[in-house]
Amino acid sequence: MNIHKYPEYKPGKKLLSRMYVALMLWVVGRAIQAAAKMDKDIKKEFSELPDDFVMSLGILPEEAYQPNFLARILPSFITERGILPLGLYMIIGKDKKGRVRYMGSNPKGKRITLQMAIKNLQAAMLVFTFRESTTTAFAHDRFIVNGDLVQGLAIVRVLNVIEVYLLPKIIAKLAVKRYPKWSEMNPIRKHLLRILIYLRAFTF
Amino acid sequence: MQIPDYYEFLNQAKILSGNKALEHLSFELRGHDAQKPLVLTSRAASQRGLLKPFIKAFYDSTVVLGAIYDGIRDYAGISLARDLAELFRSRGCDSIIAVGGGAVVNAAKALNILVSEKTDSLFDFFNGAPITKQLKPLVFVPTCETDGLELSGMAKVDNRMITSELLMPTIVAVDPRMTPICSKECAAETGAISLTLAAEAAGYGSPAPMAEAYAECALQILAEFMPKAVRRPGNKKTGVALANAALCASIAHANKPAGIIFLIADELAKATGHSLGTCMGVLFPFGFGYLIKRNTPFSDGLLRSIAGFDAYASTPAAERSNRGAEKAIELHGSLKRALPESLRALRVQRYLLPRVGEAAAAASRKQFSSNDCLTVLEHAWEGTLF
Repeated sequence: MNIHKYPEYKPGKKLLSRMYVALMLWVVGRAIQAAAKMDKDIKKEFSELPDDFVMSLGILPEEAYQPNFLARILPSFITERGILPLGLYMIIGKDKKGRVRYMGSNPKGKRITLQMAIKNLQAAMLVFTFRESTTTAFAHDRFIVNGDLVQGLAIVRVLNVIEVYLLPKIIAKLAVKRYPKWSEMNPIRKHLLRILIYLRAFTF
Repeated sequence: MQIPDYYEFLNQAKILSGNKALEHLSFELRGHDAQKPLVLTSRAASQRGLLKPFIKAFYDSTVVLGAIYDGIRDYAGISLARDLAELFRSRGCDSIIAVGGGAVVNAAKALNILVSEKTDSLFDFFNGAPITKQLKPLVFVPTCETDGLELSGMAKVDNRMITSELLMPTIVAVDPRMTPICSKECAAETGAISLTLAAEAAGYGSPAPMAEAYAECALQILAEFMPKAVRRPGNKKTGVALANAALCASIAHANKPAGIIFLIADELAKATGHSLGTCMGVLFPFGFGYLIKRNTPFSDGLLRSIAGFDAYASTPAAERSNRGAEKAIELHGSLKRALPESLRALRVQRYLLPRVGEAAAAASRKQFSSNDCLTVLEHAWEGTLF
């Protein structure tokens, strides 16, 4: 048999998908930081988490996603504050004063207490293009959780609330397990907080 | 439910089924410390364009496909296995992915033995020598072709069997992009194999709760989706359903002794060169008809899984056994337009029937006599039901 007839296949890259997922993780991360100051449900979830809580949500395999060129050359006060979407990670945690902070997209050098990961980029695309809700993706075993599962589920609830704020109802209904009724979330309050979250998340 | 005094059950495959199942393979292979698989597939799968979505599923991962060999036809031989072993070693591969069933999986299992045992000969294994080394991870990606043995510990190489529990695949990925059925005839053959294996495992013989559970699951899926698959073969949903039914039937068959229809069909396929699915499809109503005539006690699960709980509850207990077998034959009726109705229509020579009957009886290890097998074959040849 002529073995040269059968070449190797090295994996390709879907750059647009990577950029989209990086952008979505950055948007959600900054929105959680903003919403943690304003929404009572998110405040309550984070208050029940330990003081040294730091979680990362990333895409596997880590080796396939090398650090962005900008992430390597920009100074740390830009990369650590998460001013730009620079990687396929979202790191959120409590700082020394107990405030919820988005800590950028580089997990190196940080003490992560809860590590969540999506098994592959296509699964992340399913979640972030709302073809599968977060809870459905969990049920389909697309996530892995390394740490306390109770804390992981608290983060899933936080993500559900954030998606209600960030997305219009027609899309949010696909993303969350159950869209809150008028009695559970006052629509005036919802729209007001939506404007405030967007303003605080994207004005530095 | 009858619990036997003693039974054994083994299924070691992790099954991933559904949307984007292929994309999970890189993660699963990593769990087995494998990053460079050798991919085996058939010429037919390659020509149908199934390799493009397969290769794309590994984008954005660290998996490097060592090679994609797409020259497997309808037969797995020792010389093919040796060539594949040379390719495997030269590329430094550490796992095997079989895209497609039947001969592709047989070749993959034979290759796995050669590269794991570090040998060039399978003759000792044909004669029952045990496999002593840890085998490489074997991934099975079903397409529309199957021979019912993929999830078993059996490999058919050069028309001889190698049997070992270690040969079972490690991971199975059923993806809607790979399972659309190419034609009515292919749907009928896959359905016939799954129906035969599941109905024989659930229907009669010594009780085995786990195997019967898988078989009843397969029958429920077939009752709902098999007629649709034959009418509209290209539908993705029915393709995935049929693939899942084939997996369940294969697991059930691997954990129970083979039934009369499988044994006769296997020998008939060897003697005539017809596909196993066609032989099973033709023999099924005659085999079950003969078992009804012989007053074989069928399990209630057969009626319950094919006809549903309402029909099961409304049938008197004494009649459920035969009613279940009749329902199985009715379900087979949905394949009639796509398969020949008798062995004569299949152009099987009559003089072969006694030889096939004797070979099937010998393979059954005295479970069925050559008279039993020959009676089924004669009726199948004439096309006259019992």
